[in-house]
Amino acid sequence: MKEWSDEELDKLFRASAEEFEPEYQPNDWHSLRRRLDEADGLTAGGWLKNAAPWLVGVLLLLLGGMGAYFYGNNIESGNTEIPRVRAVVSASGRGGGQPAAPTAWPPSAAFSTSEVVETDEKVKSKPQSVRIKGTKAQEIAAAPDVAEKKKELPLNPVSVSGARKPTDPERRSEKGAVLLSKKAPTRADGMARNTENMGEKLSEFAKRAALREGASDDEFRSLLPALAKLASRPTSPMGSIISYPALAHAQPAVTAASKPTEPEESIPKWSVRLGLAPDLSTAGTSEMTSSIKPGPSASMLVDVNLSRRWAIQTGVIMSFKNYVATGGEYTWPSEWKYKQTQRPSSVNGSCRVIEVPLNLRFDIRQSPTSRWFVGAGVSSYNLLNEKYEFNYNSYDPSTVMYDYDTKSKSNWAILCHANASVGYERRLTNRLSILAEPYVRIPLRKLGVGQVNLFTGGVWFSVRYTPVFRR
Amino acid sequence: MSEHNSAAILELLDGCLQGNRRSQELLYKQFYGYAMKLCMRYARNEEEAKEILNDGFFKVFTKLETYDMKRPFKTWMGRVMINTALDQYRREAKHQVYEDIRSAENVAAVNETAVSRMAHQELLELVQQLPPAYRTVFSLAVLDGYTHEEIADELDISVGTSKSNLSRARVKLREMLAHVSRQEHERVVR
Repeated sequence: MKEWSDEELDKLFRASAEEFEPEYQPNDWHSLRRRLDEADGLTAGGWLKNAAPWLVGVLLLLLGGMGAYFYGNNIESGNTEIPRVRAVVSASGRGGGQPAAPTAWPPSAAFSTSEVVETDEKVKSKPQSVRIKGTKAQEIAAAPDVAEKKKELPLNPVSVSGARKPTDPERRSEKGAVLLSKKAPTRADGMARNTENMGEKLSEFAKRAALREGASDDEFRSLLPALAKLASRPTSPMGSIISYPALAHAQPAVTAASKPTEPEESIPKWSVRLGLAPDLSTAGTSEMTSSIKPGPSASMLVDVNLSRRWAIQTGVIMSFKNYVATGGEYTWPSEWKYKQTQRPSSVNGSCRVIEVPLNLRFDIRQSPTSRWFVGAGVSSYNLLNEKYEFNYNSYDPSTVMYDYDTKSKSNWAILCHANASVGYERRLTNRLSILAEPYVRIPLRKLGVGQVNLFTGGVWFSVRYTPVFRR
Repeated sequence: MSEHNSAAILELLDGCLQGNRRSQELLYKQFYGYAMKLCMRYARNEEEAKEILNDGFFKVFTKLETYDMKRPFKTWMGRVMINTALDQYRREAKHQVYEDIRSAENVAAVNETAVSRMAHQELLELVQQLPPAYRTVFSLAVLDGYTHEEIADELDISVGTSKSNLSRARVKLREMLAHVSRQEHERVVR
C-alpha cells in the first residue's frame, strides 16, 4: 500500500488522459451532420423551420389580401344590386303629344312604350357590365345605358379602396329604376321613330316651356333654329332601341327602394393595431402561480370587418414567457431518462414565442366615440429558445441535468391555445383609437420540451389605426 | 502553406470553409479522438462528452472563418472544445451543490498494483465522478496545463478557490483510488 504524492497522482491521471483516445463513432457524425443541415436549411424540416415564420407571414398577407379583394367585390356587387322596381315608361314615342310621364333615372333608359313593366329578377351588376335576367332584348337595352352612366356617375357607391359609402336614397331609387320594353324594337324602327319624333318632341317641349314662362310667339320662333340644331344631332348608336330622353322634368319613380333611409356610418374594411402587454404565464394552477414573472409581449394585428359588429382578427404576436412548473407539471423527456434517476422538484422555464392568433371579435356596445367588444379564437405558437433550469430538493452525484437550452431550435404547435378577451376601445380621431383588452390563453394541448400546459394572461394596451378610404 | 498544418488539413479546412460536407466529415473523423479525449475530461459521462464534442464541432464549422490559418488548427480546435465544456460548466455551476468533503480529508492508502491494472478509461471515469467544480479545476490545471490565475479568470473564481478545489479534487481522487484498491484486494482474497 502506498500514499500517492500530488505529483505522482497528477502524473498517473495525465498519462491516462493522454493515452486514452476514443474510437471514431459514425453515429456521432450523423448527428452533427443533421444539425448542420438544419442550420443551413438543407433539410426539408430545417428549411421549413427556418422559413416557417416568413411563410406564415406571407400566407397571412396573401389570405388577408385575397379576403379583402373578394370582400370588396362583394360589397360592390351588393350595393349595385338593383331592387325589384316598378317603372313607368314615357309615352312620347308612339302616341306623341303626351307629356312625359314620371320616369326613373337614368332618363335614357325610357322606352317608347306606355307599358309598365316589372323586373322579375333582382339585377346584379358590376361596373364593367350589367347582367339582367330576362329577355335578350332587355339585356341589350340596359347594357349601353349603364355603360354610359358609368362614365358620369359611378354606379358603385363603394370607393376604390373599399369603404362603404352612405347610400343616397334618391340615387338608389334612380339607379333602381330600370325601364324595359316587353318587345324590343328593331334598330331600323328605332332610328326612324327617333328621327320622326325628335323635332316634334322638342318643338312641343320648347313651346310649352316658353308659354309657361310667358314668352310671345316671336320669342318662341327665335328659339326654333337652336332647337333645329338639337334635333339634327346624330342619335346614339343604340338610338334604335333607346328613345331620346324626355326633357320634361321626370319625377323619380315611387318605389319601395326610394324611401329615404338613414345614412349609414362608414365602416372601414380593415384596421391595424399595435399593442404591448405584460405576458403572465404559468404552467398550471399550482402554488407556482405565485412566482409568475411577467415578460414583454408585442403585437401587430389586423382586423377585417365582416359587418358592423363582427370582425376577424389575425396577425403576429411576439412574446417572452417566463414560468415555473412543479416537477409533476413538467414531463421529463423520454430521451433523458437514461441520464439520471433524480427528477427535478421544480423547473424554471422561459422561451420566446411567435404567436399567430385567429380570432372573431364582436362589438357588444357601440357609440360614436367608444365601443366594448369581446373576442375569442385560437392561436398557434412557434416556440424559440426554450430554456429550462432544473431545481432539485437534494444533491445527487448522478444528477447531470441542471439546465437545458434548445438554442435556435424552433418548435411549432398549431392551434394549441384557445383565446378569449374583452376590451374597451376609445376613439381619439377618425383614424386613431386606443384599446385596453384583458385576455387569456388557455392550452388545448401541451407544449415544448417539457410538454407543459402553458396558461397565459395579460392586458393588451393598443393603438388602432383605421385607414380613411377615398369616397 | 502554414508551418503548423499539413497540406491535407489545409485542404480540408478550405473545403469546410465552403461548407463541403465531405470535408467536414473527414476533418471530424481526423480529430474525433483528440477532441473526444478533451471532452471526456470535463464531462460527467460519455453521453455528455459527445454533446460537448458536437457542440464544439458545430462551432468549429460555423466559426471557421475566425480561425487564423497560420496557427495550429489542433490547438485552436482544442481550445474551442475546452471553451464549450466550460460553457456547459458555467450553466451548471449556479445549480451546483457542493458536496461536504470533510469525510474525505483523511489521506487514503492506495494499492499500486491494483491501480496499475486499471485501464486509462477507468481512471478517466474517476475524474468524471468528481463534482463538477473539482473536475473542471483538476482537468484544467493537471490535464490541460492551465495556471491557477487562468483558471480563476475562466471560471470567475478566486485563485484561492481554484487551489482549494484542486486540492480537494486530489483528495477525492485518492479516496476513490483507495476504494478501488480495497475492492481489488477483497476480490483477490476471495
